[in-house]
Amino acid sequence: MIQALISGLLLGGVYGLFSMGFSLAFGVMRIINFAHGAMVMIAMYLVFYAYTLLGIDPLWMVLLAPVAIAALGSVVYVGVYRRFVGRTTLQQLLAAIALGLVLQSLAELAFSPETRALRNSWGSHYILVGGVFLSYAQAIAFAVAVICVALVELVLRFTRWGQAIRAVADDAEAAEIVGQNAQAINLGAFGLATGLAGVAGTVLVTYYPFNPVVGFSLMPIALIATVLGGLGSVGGAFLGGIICGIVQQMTSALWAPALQDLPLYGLLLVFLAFRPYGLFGRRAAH
Amino acid sequence: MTALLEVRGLSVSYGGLRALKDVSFSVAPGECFVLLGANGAGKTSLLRCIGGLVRPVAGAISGNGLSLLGLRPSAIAHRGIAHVPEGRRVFPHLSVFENLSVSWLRRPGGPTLPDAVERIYGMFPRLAERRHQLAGTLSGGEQQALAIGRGLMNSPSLLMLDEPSLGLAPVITRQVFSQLNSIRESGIALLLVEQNASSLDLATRGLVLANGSVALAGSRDNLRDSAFVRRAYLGL
Ligand SMILES: Nc1ncnc2c1ncn2[C@@H]1O[C@H](COP(=O)(O)OP(=O)(O)OP(=O)(O)O)[C@@H](O)[C@H]1O
Ligand SMILES: [Mg+2]
Repeated sequence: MIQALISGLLLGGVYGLFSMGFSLAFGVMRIINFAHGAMVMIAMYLVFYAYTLLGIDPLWMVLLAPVAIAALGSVVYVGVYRRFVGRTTLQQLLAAIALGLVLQSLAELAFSPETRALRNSWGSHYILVGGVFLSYAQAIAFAVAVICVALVELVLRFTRWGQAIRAVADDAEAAEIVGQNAQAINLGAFGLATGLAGVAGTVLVTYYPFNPVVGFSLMPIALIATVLGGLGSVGGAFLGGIICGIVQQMTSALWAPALQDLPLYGLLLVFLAFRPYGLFGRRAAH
Repeated sequence: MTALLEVRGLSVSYGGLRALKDVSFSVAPGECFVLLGANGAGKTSLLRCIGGLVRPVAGAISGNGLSLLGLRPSAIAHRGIAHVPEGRRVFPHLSVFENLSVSWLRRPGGPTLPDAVERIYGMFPRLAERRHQLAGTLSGGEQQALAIGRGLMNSPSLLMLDEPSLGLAPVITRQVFSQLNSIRESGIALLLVEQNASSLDLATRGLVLANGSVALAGSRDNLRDSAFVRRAYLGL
């Protein structure tokens, strides 16, 4: 019970980490980036091969992988999403799903569909704290997630770049009028959002088995976390992710692992119907 | 001497609908040029076109002798032409301070961010009192002050305002106009779009738009004395 709560919290931190990026892209550009999970998946392969082929410890990749994924995200933004900013939600959503499927198919071609796991020196270590087993990898992942959410919140709140991102989220045209190049801000924000997917993939791969489909399988979590946290709210999505992790692990422990996602989807329906602005009642991105 | 802003033969269409036809005028440094016109006359289309938000189908726009056509709106702001849009359009989830800060453009010889913000607070003490409040919670008059303050943050040579009196009580409108007058006295030229003819008190020159064309242009006194303006705007 306590064990499930703790492992839910730790896993939820990582859910929160990539949900934050998903929510950021939505809040700023109104892009429902269904390819966000594919970015997590690509980061996982990147870190996996960096470790197995080059012997680079996954911890180092916490700095490198996000940069690589943010670069990929920027290419995706310029190549695809830029054309869809301001188009109908349906067109944009279909494009995002298609993009996610393309990336997934390419990954299947390049890496084969088989499921793998990264076995590094410390990934399977456990520490016993107060009668609860803590996975070393999960604890590190959680710590990285908390650091990232704090950094992103600080950047959004206290830097002029962060202010500009929030201004574009509020009113992109007015932001242009006051001298902010909304296109450039969008590109940067999308880079930040996909960079967060890169961090999430990096820490997740140390304990989470993966294959090319893992990205899509994570998307429902990002959706639920984003709805729980209030659409477009970055900090809210992080908390939403933690709630998802806890609900999932508790269900799995108390009920049955096969049903672990059922209450989550129920929660999504309930929130969409009765509290579409999420737990914290904020309507717009901030 | 080159005009601060020069508009020549400007035409704007939305699909088939012609919103502006062959509009020409220019604004000299330090003057207050007033654009009057009824609802749907094309005033907003004209400012949005100068501000780079709408592409013209014909005509030329230049600022300080350099063409502004094809520039992004943000690039036009960087050229010293500030736009206070119709409906104020403050960023509702940013604080008053953040609205100003995000609008500050670093320019050589320009004020620092704290100096620029303090100058706006000096002009609009209400904004200083509410600096940490979200802009979405301000009253209409305060939002208009913030929108003007945002425009001034980039130390423009020309400030374009789209119906700043819209939806404000007459007392507040008078305050806004008197602020605009001191802004002009500080050397910033104004291009003021209005339906409220008391804006003519501020004007050096102006024109009247009707159905997208220039119906009348001239000095303040020419406009005041014209039978058209007297009937349509001054209720005489
Ligand atoms: N985005 C648009 N798409 C289509 N038609 C438009 C658009 N914007 C304006 N128009 C039309 O162009 C004409 C001029 O509109 P504009 O907003 O420029 O007038 P205005 O003088 O600012 O009016 P108001 O006093 O109501 O603000 C109107 O007939 C309007 O319906
Ligand atoms: Mg208008």
